[in-house]
Amino acid sequence: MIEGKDLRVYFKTRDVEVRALDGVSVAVKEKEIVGVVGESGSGKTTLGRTLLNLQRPVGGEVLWNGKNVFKLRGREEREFRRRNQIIYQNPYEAIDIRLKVYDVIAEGIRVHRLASNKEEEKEMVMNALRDVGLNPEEEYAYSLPNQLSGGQLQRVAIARALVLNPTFIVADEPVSMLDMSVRAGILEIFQRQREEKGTEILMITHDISTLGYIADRIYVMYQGKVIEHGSADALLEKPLHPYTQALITAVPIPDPSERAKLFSVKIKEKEEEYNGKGCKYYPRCPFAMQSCREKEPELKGVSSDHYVACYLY
Amino acid sequence: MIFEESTDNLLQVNSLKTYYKTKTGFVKAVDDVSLFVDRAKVLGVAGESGCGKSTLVTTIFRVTPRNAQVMSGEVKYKGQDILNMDLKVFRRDIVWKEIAYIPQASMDVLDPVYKIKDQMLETILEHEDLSKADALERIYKALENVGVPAEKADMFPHELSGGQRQRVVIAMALLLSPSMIVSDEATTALDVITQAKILELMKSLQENRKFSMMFVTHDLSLLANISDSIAIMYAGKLVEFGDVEKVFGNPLHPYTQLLLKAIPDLRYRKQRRLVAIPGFPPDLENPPKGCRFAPRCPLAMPICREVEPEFSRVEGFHYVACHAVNKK
Repeated sequence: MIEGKDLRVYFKTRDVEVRALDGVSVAVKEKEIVGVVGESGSGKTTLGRTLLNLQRPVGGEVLWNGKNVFKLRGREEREFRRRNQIIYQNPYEAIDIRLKVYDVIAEGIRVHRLASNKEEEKEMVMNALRDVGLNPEEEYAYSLPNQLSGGQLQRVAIARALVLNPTFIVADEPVSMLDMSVRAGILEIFQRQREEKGTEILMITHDISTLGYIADRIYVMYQGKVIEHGSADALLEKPLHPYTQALITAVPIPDPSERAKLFSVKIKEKEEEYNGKGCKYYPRCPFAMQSCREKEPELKGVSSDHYVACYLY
Repeated sequence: MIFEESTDNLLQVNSLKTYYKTKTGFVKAVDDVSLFVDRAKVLGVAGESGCGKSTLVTTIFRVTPRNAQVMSGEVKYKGQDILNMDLKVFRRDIVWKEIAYIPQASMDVLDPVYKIKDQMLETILEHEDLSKADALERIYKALENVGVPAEKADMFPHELSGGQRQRVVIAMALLLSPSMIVSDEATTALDVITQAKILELMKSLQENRKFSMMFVTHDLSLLANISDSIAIMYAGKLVEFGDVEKVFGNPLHPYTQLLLKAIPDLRYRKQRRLVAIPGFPPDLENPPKGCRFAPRCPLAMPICREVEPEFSRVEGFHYVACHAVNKK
């Protein structure tokens, strides 16, 4: 189980301070696939990086099985690095194109000294390739990344993570670069991994409809804040925050008779500047009230598995 | 190919073949594609990466890379053969004035060192004999029509948000009142909410001003929402073409059917699983004999690996190229 508590990450530029994470708490429990959804700039990638100790927060802590990950040193830190893996959106940028697929996957085994000899290493690499559906594995192992399609290469990136037997994986937009027809295959790998090995997965995406098929729980982020979270069923069937509602309405439905819905997204074209103290969403919120301008709402439970930060509830 | 369903034809593509020459042969990127766009209608062209949809667009605009060759076929716009027209005349009379183009990642096509209004002025003055004051008047109106305040005309592109830049590009495309807009993955890089708002804008402009659109994207769900007709491409071939209700309500080609099972639909997330299409698209330099989808097709019969299926009409405005369907 991995848990982020009140995480704060601020990026300073010459004259502005961007609060990429502004007091975010998340938990990914055993065997869970948790989705994080939000638009670009909402802080969702920063959240994933912070949980993996790839980004130091200015406040808050990340607990991995109860231990603060920013304080891990030596063997414990190496163990943390091995057990917690990340998969990026663009496999062409995440993989060294000069290495054969075999070496891409074997690199982690060598760094962490997981194999006692070459045969063992080879067996691990081949098993990993088979696990992600790259058959025949011998053929893929000795090809170069540029001989593979985007979907195949993303499978290699996943194999590279799985070969280390991770307990937690951050998947940052793992399918958004890929063709629709191969996305389902990639998502299946994550589902199987969770079912067979109990791996915890944090899936970051801007596409809430994909999460509907794979996530147990969903966090919705807006400008560095979690504004709503809950079980996937509760959140998708009864979205409460006006932003979550807009996010769901804006997903096109593949059915010409449902056209009216896509064009009924309720959101204001940003007219007022944010005043620095109210709800971050009020400048675009069609239901904004006076109280929304004065103080930021806190996350409140509306049921045991559904929380929202909005004065409407 | 003659389409009886085309009643008010604006653009017609006839058996178009565009190949890319390589050291070893030809990549058959667009291979015998025929389709049409009627006046004031929206055609959606869908397909995965490498299916030839962008080559189709660049052929129509005559901006293909050097190694591309139109092997045969024609593109007719208002009855004129635009592929064999003098290139200078084509650029002066057709591009922007008749057919405007909204490219992929189009919020990034604005030149960062020119103000919005100067870029728009250039477009007008290049094609029309108009005073600067009149042209500016038109620019301010065009911006307001797409929901961008007129004072933004004095700004540089980086001072606008992604959604606003996208709107500026749409305003630019409409400056010379073209009869047709071609958009290639125009909304792909936008956030979902911005995308919904831009689509709403494009659809309402299209309905009010009655121009035609050819909307090219990999996102089938999006096309269901804005198109009148749909063309599905696979590996350089047009595999299904027809009325939007027919293609979504009764998809005939196995590829279309599988694609629809691969895309998420929140209404049915509990009843259905997403299904991937096994296998990979073929190498277009040496495409398989017979139907190009046969190696991945669950319904493939011996004939599919031998003979290319004919593109033929099923009923009404609904065409498909598949042996399994044509046999029935």
